[in-house]
Amino acid sequence: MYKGREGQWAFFLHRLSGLALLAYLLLHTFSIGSVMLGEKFYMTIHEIYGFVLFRLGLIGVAGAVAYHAFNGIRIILIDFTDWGVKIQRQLWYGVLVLAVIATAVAAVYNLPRIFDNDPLTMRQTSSNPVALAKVVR
Amino acid sequence: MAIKARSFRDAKAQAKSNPELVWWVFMRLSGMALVVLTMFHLFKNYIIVSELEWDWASVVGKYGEVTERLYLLALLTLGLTHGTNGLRYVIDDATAKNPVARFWIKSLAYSVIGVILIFGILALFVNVPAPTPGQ
Repeated sequence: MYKGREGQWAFFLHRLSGLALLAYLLLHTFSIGSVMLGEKFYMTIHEIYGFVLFRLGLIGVAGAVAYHAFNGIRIILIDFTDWGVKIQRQLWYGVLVLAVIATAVAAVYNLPRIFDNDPLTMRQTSSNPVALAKVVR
Repeated sequence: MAIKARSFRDAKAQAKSNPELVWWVFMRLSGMALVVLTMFHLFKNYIIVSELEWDWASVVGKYGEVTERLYLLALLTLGLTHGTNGLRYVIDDATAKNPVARFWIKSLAYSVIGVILIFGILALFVNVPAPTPGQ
């Protein structure tokens, strides 16, 4: 499929992250927009999203945002500057480094919230059996 | 067909139609705006506070601010337009040999996205009654 070098991986990941972000944005708009359908409806969805795998998934969403944003800037530099074309490969490695750093920041802030028994986590995830077992223990 | 250009001049030469060139420029301008809008949105609502903070009452309270509504309106419309046009590029590439599939996949995709867009805009501007104390 992709036999090219870095440029084609950059292109492939840009499309993949873009599609993932569109899918996330549609779900996110529905779940947050459902605030107008009343407290019960909104909170049902909100509690489902409190499940630990969805919370971990959000770190991935943040990573996809970072990659797509930084690579988008790389594309613009390539389109509008000559030096951007010359160092496009190096720029891509820069994009990867920045995306990893941004994902790490999201993880550093959110992993403790997800796995520590802080009051917020206990309150919100106590409706699902996995988290409840953790809290009881 | 998506433009695969390496400069604005190339894009102009390759564009089969004027709208296609406009979309090429739009993707870059909206992209730059979205980098700033999205990063700030994530930082404010996901990094410095947990996403779990956003229960029903908090979102209602947030929507009480006009500036928040306008910010989210910009984020929603720019994000969905940018994303939908990106999806169009992907569909065009994936269905290059199948115009019938292209038509139906696009019809389905645009319908779903259109409904969600209207839903999202309504949610921003429909006034939700604030929760009554003690409820």
